[in-house]
Amino acid sequence: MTGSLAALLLATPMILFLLAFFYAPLAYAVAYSVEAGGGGLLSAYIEVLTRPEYYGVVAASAVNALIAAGISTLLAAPAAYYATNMASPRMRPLILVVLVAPFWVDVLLRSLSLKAILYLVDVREGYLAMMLGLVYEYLPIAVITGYVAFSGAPQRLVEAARTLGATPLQALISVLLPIAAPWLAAGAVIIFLMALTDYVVPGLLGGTQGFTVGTLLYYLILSGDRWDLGSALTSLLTIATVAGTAVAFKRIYEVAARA
Amino acid sequence: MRRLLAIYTIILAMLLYAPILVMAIQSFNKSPYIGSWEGFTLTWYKVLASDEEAVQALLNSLYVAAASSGLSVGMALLAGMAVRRRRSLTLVDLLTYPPLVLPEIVEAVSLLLFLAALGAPFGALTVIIGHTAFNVAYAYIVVAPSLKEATRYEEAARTLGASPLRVAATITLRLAAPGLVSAAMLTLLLSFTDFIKTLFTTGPGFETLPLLLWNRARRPGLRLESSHSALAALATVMTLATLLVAAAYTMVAIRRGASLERGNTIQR
Repeated sequence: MTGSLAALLLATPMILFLLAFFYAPLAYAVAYSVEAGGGGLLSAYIEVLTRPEYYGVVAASAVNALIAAGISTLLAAPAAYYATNMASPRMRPLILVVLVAPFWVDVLLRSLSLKAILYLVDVREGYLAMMLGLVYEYLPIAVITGYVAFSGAPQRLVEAARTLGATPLQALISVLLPIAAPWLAAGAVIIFLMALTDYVVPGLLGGTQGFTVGTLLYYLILSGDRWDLGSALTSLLTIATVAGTAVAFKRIYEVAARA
Repeated sequence: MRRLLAIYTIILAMLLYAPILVMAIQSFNKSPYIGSWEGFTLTWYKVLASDEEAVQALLNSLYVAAASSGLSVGMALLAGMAVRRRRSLTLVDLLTYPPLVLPEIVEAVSLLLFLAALGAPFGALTVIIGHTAFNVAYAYIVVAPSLKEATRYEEAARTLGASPLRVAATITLRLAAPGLVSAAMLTLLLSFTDFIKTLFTTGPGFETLPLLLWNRARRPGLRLESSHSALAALATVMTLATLLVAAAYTMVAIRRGASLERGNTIQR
């Protein structure tokens, strides 16, 4: 028994580190934001939620993030399906590596490169460039989530449906999608959260349109000196993230429990 | 259907790599203008090598990545050892999930507010702390399963009379090695390419490569459409380095997945 207690002590450096530099800062930001506004408790929240220059940015940013998450998930899905279920088994890991590796190239570098290409076809900084940048940035992630989604839907099931007389389209709609959809949706939630707070792509490709929650936070905290509003927005994001991932993964558990 | 999907996948891959390739080609272009090839040159790489600010930023990036990776893998290894004999989810597991899903800018802003309140000196140390706060969670989820895996074989070795030291060296560390290598590469990559956490936790005078790239890419007069080729050279070097590590990492991860699967089959 003492042995296992001693073993548990080994975990203390990591636990203490996470408590000190991950959880304590989050708690501090929430506590700070509650009191920070000039006009009493929660006044920073009221200001963020009622002034159009703040909630407008958040809303526009959410719409853009939603579009980017949807498009990248849809674009990646066929390739992810091919990589998991149709390519020859020996090729599968290779295809996955090829499609996912660009994710590891620094976002800044990829955005710069994309900017260069877009200049060649005469697309300048602006809304279109920013959206293309977001989709380009998150495609590899969408491939990973698509891979996870489709590896749970074995080709056998599709083949069984085909043998029983379903057309390829019917097999896709009635067999494949019900299995893969919750996973694809959960992946889209993750991409949405990343795109919502993106800072690099809107900054490099968005031009004057390049304003997201990420850039808003940058201006509030690092150049605008409105720490009260920045901390309120940060705390709202923390809550939204926890809620969003909880809902997305709850659905997965439900579907998994039924299956 | 199958051929159609194959073609689609190839086109998607080409789209993913096209910008990176254009950047790489531009770094060898005599002309500073993308789209007009005037011959091969290494000038931009020489410009880069004599750029003291860039070299210093590279050294800073390597220093931060090595320190953060070392710290993270070390702490994750210890924590993994602590809980590896437990079947159910532990407190340690639960603590490591939020850093994986929370948007980085949220972490970064909170850490900045917190460190400022403590009066911490912003610089290399705060950047390392910031990177380690997410790196340690990634290291843990990679390392912990390989340590759990090793326990089965330790029992056997001990029953057969191996000393504890020998078990640790020949069974535990050897079986955990691929996990440790993966975790080290993953955390090196995450730290080396990190931008947002660094932006919010650095102090005056401490610049990593991503920060340098960002500052220069945004600097007026040095736009990408014109004389941006030294940046292209820098980007190419960084891309090549990250892609190599990423490919190695993914290969190790996949091979490990395959060997675990094989192990499970044998067990069954």
